Amino acid sequence: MEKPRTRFEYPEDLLNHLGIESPDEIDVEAIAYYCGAKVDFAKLTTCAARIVGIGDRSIITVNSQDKPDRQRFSIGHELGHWMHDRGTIGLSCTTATLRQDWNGDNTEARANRFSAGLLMPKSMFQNRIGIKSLDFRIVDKLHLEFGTSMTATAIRAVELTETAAMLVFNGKRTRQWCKRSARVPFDLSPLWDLHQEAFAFDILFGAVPSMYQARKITADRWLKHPSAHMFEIREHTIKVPEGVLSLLSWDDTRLIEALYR
Amino acid sequence: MKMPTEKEKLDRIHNALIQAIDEMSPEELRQHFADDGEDPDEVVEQHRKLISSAIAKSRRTALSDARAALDNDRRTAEIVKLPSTPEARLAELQRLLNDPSTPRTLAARAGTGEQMTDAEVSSLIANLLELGVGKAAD
Repeated sequence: MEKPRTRFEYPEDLLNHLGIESPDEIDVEAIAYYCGAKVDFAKLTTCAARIVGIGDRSIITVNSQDKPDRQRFSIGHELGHWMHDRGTIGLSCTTATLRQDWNGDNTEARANRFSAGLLMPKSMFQNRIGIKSLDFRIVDKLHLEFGTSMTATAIRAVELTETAAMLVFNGKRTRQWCKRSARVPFDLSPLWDLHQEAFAFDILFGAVPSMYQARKITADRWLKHPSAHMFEIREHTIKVPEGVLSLLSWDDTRLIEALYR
Repeated sequence: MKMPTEKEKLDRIHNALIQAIDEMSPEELRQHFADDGEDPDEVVEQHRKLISSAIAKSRRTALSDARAALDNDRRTAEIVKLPSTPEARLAELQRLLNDPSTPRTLAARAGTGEQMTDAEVSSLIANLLELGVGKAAD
């Protein structure tokens, strides 16, 4: 008898193969097991997740101390490695690799993309984002529905939204990374150092809590552009481990349109 | 000669029916439904839905079967007997990492295993043994 197909380059093909049509059906441990990867939990300190595989079988171990949404992403990430490097595999992935950009051309970025596509498939995710300017209230709903971390959900939302949005992660020292939606040109970059009048500044360095909703702010508090002082954007910042995550969005897209002229 | 059972008779009728339908061309099938007073397009659509739903059901069954198998695997997994001291566990890990069937990438990353906590060493030993790399030393 022919063996069922258990190797998929694209996560949406895997979900389709298993007849999964809604976020609550994405049982990532069962999906991994179907693909020959058993999920185990252990207290890990030198890495966030590990995969050991020989032949058609592997064991994915995730850190039992991590939050469930982080564990789900780690499982999806290791499953991404398993799809591409089946046979003999032995990898341990750190929290830093699980947080790195998904767009890179390396095995870790590829595994992150696989995990994002598996847990937040475009076909289910995009129509839930809606057409309104993106903020963390929308992201929060999606994070609860898809069982993914706020950071991963926000990255995916910015990746798939049709509106203009930018996600910026600032650590105590400087900006760590940013992600633009397709509507935001590459030329438009956030400042390297957090402006003292950005709402994020007091959240990162003071005792101010995460913002409940997005607020308008002059664009030059965030963006490097000669005309930025003439426009307003919306900022919604929340605290995350090791820094602050700011979601910038535009009601008035003239600043963006000016860049194309 | 042995007489066929009732079930065997039914199976034969069933197979003959399938064969008869299989041998008909799409045009003949449509004509057959039209002769019976049915709308052939509607019948085709009904059958398409039926088949899609059966495929979706079978796929979902594969996922729920995987969940049940995973739960059972965890329930019935053999308890690994680990060496009694941290030093002995580290030595056991070294033995397994040096086994030729251990993935080289893992052996390279794990190094001597000394940077790992004892819990990590134990779980890695358990993983390798479960994958058939070797047997725990007493």
